[in-house]
Amino acid sequence: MRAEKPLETEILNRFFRQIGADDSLPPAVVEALLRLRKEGLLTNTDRVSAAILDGANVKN
Amino acid sequence: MSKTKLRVERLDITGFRGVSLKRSLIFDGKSVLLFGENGTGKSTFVDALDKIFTGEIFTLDHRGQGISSQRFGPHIKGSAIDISLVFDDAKHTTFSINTDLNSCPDEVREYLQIAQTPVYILRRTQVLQLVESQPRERYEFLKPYLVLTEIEQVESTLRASRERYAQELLSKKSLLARHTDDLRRYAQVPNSFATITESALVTTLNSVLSEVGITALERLSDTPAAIAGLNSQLSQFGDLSRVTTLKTTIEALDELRTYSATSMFSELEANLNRLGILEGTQTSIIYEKVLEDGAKWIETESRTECPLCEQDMVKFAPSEVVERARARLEHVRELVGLRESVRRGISTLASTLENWQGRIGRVKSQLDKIEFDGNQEIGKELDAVAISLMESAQSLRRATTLNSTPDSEIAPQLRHSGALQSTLARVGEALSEQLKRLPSADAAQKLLTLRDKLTRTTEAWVSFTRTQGEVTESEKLASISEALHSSFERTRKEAIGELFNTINKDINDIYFELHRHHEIGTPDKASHRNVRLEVRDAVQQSVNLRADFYTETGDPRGYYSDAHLDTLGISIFLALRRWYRDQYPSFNLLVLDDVLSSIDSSHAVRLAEVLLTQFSDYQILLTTHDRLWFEHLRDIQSRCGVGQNFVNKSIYGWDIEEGPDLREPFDEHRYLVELVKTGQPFEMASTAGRLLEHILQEMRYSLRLSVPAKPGERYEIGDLWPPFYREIKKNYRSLYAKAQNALDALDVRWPLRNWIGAHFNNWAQNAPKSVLQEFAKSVLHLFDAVYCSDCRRFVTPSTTPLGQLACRKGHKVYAAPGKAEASASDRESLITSTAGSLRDAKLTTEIHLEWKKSERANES
Repeated sequence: MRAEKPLETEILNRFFRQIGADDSLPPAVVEALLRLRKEGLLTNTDRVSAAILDGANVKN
Repeated sequence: MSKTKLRVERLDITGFRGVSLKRSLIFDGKSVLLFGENGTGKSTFVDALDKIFTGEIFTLDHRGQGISSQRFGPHIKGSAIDISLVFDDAKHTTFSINTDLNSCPDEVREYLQIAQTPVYILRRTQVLQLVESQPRERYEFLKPYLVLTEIEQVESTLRASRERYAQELLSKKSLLARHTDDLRRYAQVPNSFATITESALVTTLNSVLSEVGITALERLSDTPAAIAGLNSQLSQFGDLSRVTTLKTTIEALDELRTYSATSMFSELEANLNRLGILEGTQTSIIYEKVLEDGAKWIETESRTECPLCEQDMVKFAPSEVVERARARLEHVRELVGLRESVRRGISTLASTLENWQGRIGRVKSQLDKIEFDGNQEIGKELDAVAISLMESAQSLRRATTLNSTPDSEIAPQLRHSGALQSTLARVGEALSEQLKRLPSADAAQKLLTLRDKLTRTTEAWVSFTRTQGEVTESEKLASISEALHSSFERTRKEAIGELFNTINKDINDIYFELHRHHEIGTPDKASHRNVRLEVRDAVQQSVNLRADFYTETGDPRGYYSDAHLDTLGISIFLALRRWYRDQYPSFNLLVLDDVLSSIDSSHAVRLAEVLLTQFSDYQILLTTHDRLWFEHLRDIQSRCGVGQNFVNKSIYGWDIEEGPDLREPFDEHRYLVELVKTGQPFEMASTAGRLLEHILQEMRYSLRLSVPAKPGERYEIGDLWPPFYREIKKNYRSLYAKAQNALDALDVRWPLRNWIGAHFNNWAQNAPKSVLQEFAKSVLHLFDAVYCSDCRRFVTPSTTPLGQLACRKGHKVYAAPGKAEASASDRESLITSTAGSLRDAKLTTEIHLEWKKSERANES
């Protein structure tokens, strides 16, 4: 409900930095994440979805 | 960050826990120090905050066994629950348990949203929980602070996907193993090929294909060409059913020949020869049937006439005739037996011939279906045989119906059997010759098997390569899923580890402050040091607690005393609370509910100083059942220059009907005004006495009166009045001037409070009303002089160099001796301009003592 969740944001940002979501998300990772999302997984996290889409956009 | 943090103004409770009628805890936007002996309802106020913020009461809703705030939240008398908070925002927003959060102003809503996570209340029962609990339970306790709900969801999702793809990979690998087995079996790949590859299959298949002259495969995709070659070879066999039919026919003929050569013929022929000899020796023809039936007839029916001629038997009696007939039958018994045997043999032979005739007919119909050289001749011959057999059988059937020697009929038939043998042999040879001219069935079978092998191998290879691709894809997904999950898990642990490092530093700083009085040097050199929360690598959602003790390191429970563990638990909580506030600066409530149960007074004082200095910008609700510590805290508030930030409250008692006796001075004043007009003398004096006591308790702290110590710090009017009166007369002349009549009157009449209120007796009951009214009016007068109804505060000495007594807003000001009164605006400017203002300097005890020392030096 709260807009800011600093620790969660920090962990997610680190995670996506680690897998390269910020600039060059590997296609295989994008593919896997998109597939997970398509199958109903990872949809409960807006930021994850956004990062996936960002990654996909970078890829495309 | 908000420019001014939102604070609670008041908390109102009705019908909840220990509160029946409405009770209010007035914060006035300040911190509250609430004293009440055990069982007076302090925790009810804490529970009310918990309930209104989180919807739960931690001490009820987390106990299980049917205990819940739903069931045990309402007051025992069953009145309707109402809990409400008033905030100090511009609109003085009121929020109750029934208020829709969305209807609140933004800053209030934000405050309430953050407050939904209960990380700001520490109760006595929870102090040791952080230390004593198991690593998993400790994590559960820390969980609300970490706010990792979303992280846990993502991690759980990634873990689920990792497990799912790992499972999928296993399944695909299992399928691939089945396809591998199929290929090995279909292509009969030798064990020398450890793995199934296209090369291994091609090599294996080529070794067989070369035997039948098919071009070697280069790849398995060449198999259609190889299969076409096999089909071409197979086409030379024409209709392969011809071979089968011929073989079946030859086998049938062989069986027929074998059967026809049985001893049946020789036995029948021998019997016929013997029969001929016997019949040749007989002088007359024997009609054994006539003899048998005639004898039976004469005997059974007691006939006296001859059965043939129907004339009376005159020469012999019937019995003699029967006896003679049977004697004749006995005489020719061998002859009769032979005749019977020959008859049966002939009948059997007839049946056999009919059977053969049928079988030859069926063989003939099989042969008619295929074409080969000489087919028609063989067919005619078999037809002739069949007809011959049929005629012979008919002839034999006829012979058996005659009661005569069948020699003339039988002999040709028996001779015919020899001709049958030779015919069958000749036909069989002709068919065998024909069969030899056809291609080999084994060769055809070999080609068929090879074609089947190629077909099956090719199909299995398609499945194998498809599954192999799926395995590769699945391996990739499993690997990525594993990497994602591992990466996420590692990231979480690293981030939490770093967070713990930050919190650990604060824990140690706070802990060191609490024990500074018996530690030397810095926190890193302390005897109890390096307390640390640690993420457990091996176990998820689990937190270790470790610490150093002199030269040892390990679980602090092994080294630290109970009191040290208590302060350690409090240090962990405060460090966590401070970290959480850094994340959510707009929420600054801190509630400590009677947490000091086992620590000594020196540690309690250190804790008070830490709270009042390091947490001075929090709104604190601090409850205690310890009167001594309550008194210490009030004193320390003043020493630390934060007295203006605190409202100190006492709960005077509790009963089931009304709940905590938490009187507000202004309410007492208003009540007393009514009593002076219309009340009973005794109640009036009693209420006036309580208000006077209240005034003196407050002024004792603000004027720092020197009061002879009493056990339990239970000071009454008799203890407080004399030093108060002296201090006012000596040092606060302007106040004395303002309230002289009341002060002087009370100096005479203060014992009334004890006589009437505390020591009820008949004399007190019968005291004149006018005397009691004068006492009450004097108390009201004094109250008006020292209490500001706008500030809702008693006057306190100014911390500025002026030294005047004043309320917070400067509505009531009593100048220090020799000084002029400073108005609120002047006072504000003085505070602003006075370097080293105690309040702004956030004094520690040490600095305060230094200041006092220099002050005394100046005075002397």
